[in-house]
Amino acid sequence: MDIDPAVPETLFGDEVRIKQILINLLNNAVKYTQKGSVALHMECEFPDAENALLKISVTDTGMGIKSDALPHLFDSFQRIDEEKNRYIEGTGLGLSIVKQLVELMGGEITVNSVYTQGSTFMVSLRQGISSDRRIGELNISNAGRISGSERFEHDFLAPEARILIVDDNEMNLQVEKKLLDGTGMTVDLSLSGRDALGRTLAYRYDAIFMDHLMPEMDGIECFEAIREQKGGLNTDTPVIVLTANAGGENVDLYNSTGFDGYLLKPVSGRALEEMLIQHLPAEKVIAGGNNEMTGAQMNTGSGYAKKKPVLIATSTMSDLPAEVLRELQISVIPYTVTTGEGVFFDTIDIDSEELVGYMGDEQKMVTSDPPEEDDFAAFFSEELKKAHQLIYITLTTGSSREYGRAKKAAETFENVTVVNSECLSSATGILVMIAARLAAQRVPADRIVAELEAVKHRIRCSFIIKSTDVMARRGHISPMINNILKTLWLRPVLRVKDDSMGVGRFFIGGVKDCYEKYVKEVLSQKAAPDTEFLFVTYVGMAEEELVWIENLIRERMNFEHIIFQKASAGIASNCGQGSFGLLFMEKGERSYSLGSIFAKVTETEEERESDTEGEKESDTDDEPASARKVNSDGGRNGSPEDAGETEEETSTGDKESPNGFEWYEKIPGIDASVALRNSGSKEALLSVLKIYYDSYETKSGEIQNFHESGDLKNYTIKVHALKSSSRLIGAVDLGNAAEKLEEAGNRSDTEYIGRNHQAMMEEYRRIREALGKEFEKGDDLPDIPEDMLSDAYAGLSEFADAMDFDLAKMVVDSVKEYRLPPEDKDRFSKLEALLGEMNWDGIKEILKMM
Amino acid sequence: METNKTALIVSEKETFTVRGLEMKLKTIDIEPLYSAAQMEQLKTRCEEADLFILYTDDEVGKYANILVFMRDYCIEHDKQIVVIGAKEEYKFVCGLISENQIHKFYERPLDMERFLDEMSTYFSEVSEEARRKSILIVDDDVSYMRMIADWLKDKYRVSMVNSGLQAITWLARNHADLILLDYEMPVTSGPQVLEMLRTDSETANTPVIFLTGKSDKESIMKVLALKPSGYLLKSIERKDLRDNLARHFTLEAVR
Repeated sequence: MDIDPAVPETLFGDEVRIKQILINLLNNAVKYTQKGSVALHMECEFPDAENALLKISVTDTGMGIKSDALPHLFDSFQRIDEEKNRYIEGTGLGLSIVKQLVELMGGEITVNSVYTQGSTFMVSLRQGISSDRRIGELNISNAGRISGSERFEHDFLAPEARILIVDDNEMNLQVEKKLLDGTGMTVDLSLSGRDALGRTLAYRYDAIFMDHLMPEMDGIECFEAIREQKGGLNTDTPVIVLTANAGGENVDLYNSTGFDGYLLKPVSGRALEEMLIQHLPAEKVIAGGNNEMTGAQMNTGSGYAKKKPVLIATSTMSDLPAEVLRELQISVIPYTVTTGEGVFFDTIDIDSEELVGYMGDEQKMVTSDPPEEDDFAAFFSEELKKAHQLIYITLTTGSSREYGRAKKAAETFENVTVVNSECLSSATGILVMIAARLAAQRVPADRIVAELEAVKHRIRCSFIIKSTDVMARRGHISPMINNILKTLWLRPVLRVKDDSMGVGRFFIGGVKDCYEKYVKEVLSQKAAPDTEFLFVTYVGMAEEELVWIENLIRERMNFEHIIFQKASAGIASNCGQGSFGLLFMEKGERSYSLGSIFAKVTETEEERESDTEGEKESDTDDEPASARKVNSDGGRNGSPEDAGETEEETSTGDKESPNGFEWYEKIPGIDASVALRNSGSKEALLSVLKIYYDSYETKSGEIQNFHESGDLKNYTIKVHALKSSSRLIGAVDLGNAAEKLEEAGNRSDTEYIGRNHQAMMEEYRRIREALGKEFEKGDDLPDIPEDMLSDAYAGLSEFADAMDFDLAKMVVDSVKEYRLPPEDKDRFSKLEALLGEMNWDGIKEILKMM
Repeated sequence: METNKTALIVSEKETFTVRGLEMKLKTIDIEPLYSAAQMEQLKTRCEEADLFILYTDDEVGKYANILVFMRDYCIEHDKQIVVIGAKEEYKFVCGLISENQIHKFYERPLDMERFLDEMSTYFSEVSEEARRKSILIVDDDVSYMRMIADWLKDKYRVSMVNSGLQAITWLARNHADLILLDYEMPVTSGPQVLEMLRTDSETANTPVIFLTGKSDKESIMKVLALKPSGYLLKSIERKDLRDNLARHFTLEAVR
């Protein structure tokens, strides 16, 4: 039995009838439960200062109720399952009486049941409050004796907390402050919005209570000002609005403004306290200010955990960062991914990186499936232990059977609503975030659902598919069509609209071209996205590609938060490697302040990061699909991959080097301002420069080979890539030269190419040399002695023959202590990579070619 | 670990191959010392050596004086020399150092396994059973394999290959006392490798223990149907693995 200690001691209502209800329910539960337990759970909500909404639930582990029997449960004279129950006493009248009683009292009764596992009956009754005294800790063995004698005691302390109350009415302020006297927290008072803004510059509050109606600057204006405040310390402090009017339109207004909660005036101490417990940082709340454990058994207060009113849940295919799921307390059920190796739980056992690696093999089939109806039922059952209502959001019916299965499973539950997001991946994630936001603001479940149904049409969901092989393998398109697409370099855009998934349009061209066209088309002027945030959800793409895409995006639009999210294995198995999607919400009347969630999440991530090591290796496969976020100043936060380089958050952008010039500004042929603009930040530019530098060998080799063999088509492709990357690093002239050669290639002007190819290669080499000086410089390593180098190759050859990993590694590691000539440096990088795979033949190949 | 067995490697230069040799000697509990083919250095270092290992190259003619010194030293202190090098070089060495001082000659490229075996035997008073066992791990997951190898390095001679094909090739040139074979591998699967091993007389009797990721009854039955010497779950912990292998070798010894 667990009873909320905050339940008022005495309520005004019909004692006799309530007793009848309780006895009936409990009797039933006991009767139909062979083994296990019967639990009585009682909690209270306070819609206003005079009334209490008492919520009673009786849960048993009996045989449960079949879904088709549920609608008839409360009908008189019908006892279900006559056969089984004939040994049980009773007339079967009980439940129908209970229902009538409850309804006569203006209350509600609902049932959840999983057949063979048990049932929960929930009754909610509105009762007047007779005595403000709380029931406190109910001690059953000393029944009748009630502790907690004083008038309204707090059951928590928060001496470290500091809050601000803003209200134009002096008396209100004093009363509200007095209500918080016992908690030990510091309470600042402001009589106006203006004054409040002064304070929010000085202190970072743990919570702010804001009166709505005030002269000069009302609560909403002030709230918005606080959120936007330059240099303000409270841009994501929880703000709760105090209002005298609880009408529907007001609630809408508060939600859309983005308040973290609302309270009705006159504010009761209890309500204030509840709100604070919810929003104060956990470490500042010391529970149990007056709870005295009497030491006797059967202490009903202990083990009590208040249920959330509404819980939001979805599947792993919603591609949301782990931190966001945690922050918003969203529950997740995994899809399963089936490969030749076995069946895995999406994102738990396997993520898109591993899947992409696996799918590389032509023969391997991969399928992804939503949970079965039974799995859903079990999941819902579990989740309902934590909340009164559950809203489960599924992917579009156009892509999976999730909705149908979830809906069917939800039929046995009265408190579960299933919503079809009509999109997939992070687009569904956006809808989930909106739902969670609303739930946190205590919006009732049915209103949340209505809101979701309306707003889901504003969400845009599309993916550019690099290669249609996977789609062909999955049977979405025929092999013949696949071949045609490949031959013509046609890449489709997968679009999810109006609850169906289909090909939006095709782009023709090389991969990067198509990426660029896709970004341009999606972020066109008429799209009008809400610029608070943008999801870039990708499958198997490299860091440099993502950086490049980010630049493309920034060139077109300024988003406050760009979230790079690795797609779940489920999505990966449908789209294939190299695919990504731009997922966002269209601008509309209501904004849900989702941006502040990302801001909050980035903050906690940074705190965590500052404890961890600097340089990490790029093996992030063990981590859950966590996201990288980029703020509008271009600094990159929270990414495990480049923790080494970019740990500081530069809010003002670049740092100047002491002599006023950066080294890359002094390289002839590189225009640093262009480079910075294209890359977005100094850090990004440095990493791009390094990539450019490192890839010289391979890329120049390719270009040269294609040129010499006369392969015009591939030559043009490679030169096009060189153009883009050169421009990215600000090598404007080289970029232009490459462009001209690309154009010549397109019109098959071999003469032009013949004349100008060499010059371009020269310039390329020169830039690389110049970069080399800088990248070598940092190392401070001694030059490798000539004979040692040749000895290294000899030793490596011998060890490769013997397939001796440790010895080969020794050679590679020793060589790293020295500075090598560029050609050898490249070679050793390749050798090292091959060694990691124990690819002895590959190693021997390279050594042979010397 | 306390070891009083030392070998002094003498060569013109401390090449990677020599360094490799040093590393390998450590795995059989022999402390390697090194001296360049240079009189001063050699004089100081030779005091501590139980055995000399002369690693020759084609320049051996240049340091004839070193060879002479070694010969005299060995005669006086009753030490032996092992020579590793090309046949031609060995001939030259023999011209200067008599057979009595030379324990053995190994032609390059060095058959490391055999070399280490014999070195082990040379140094230990106890018989073959006391020397370190060699284990070959076959697994396509290189990082997993490295972790396992790391756990076992101090007690065994561990080698790694990442495919059935590599395993066959390795076993053609080397000897293993035990093979830890990954059951689930692409291209050539564990069972297939086992079959290949069994058809070859050299390896037919080498004990094989399967490593598998699947712990359900059906899969285990499949694994056992091939009658390996045992199976281990990949999720096994360091301590359990070591205990398990120790038990295995103890049982093998009494067989």
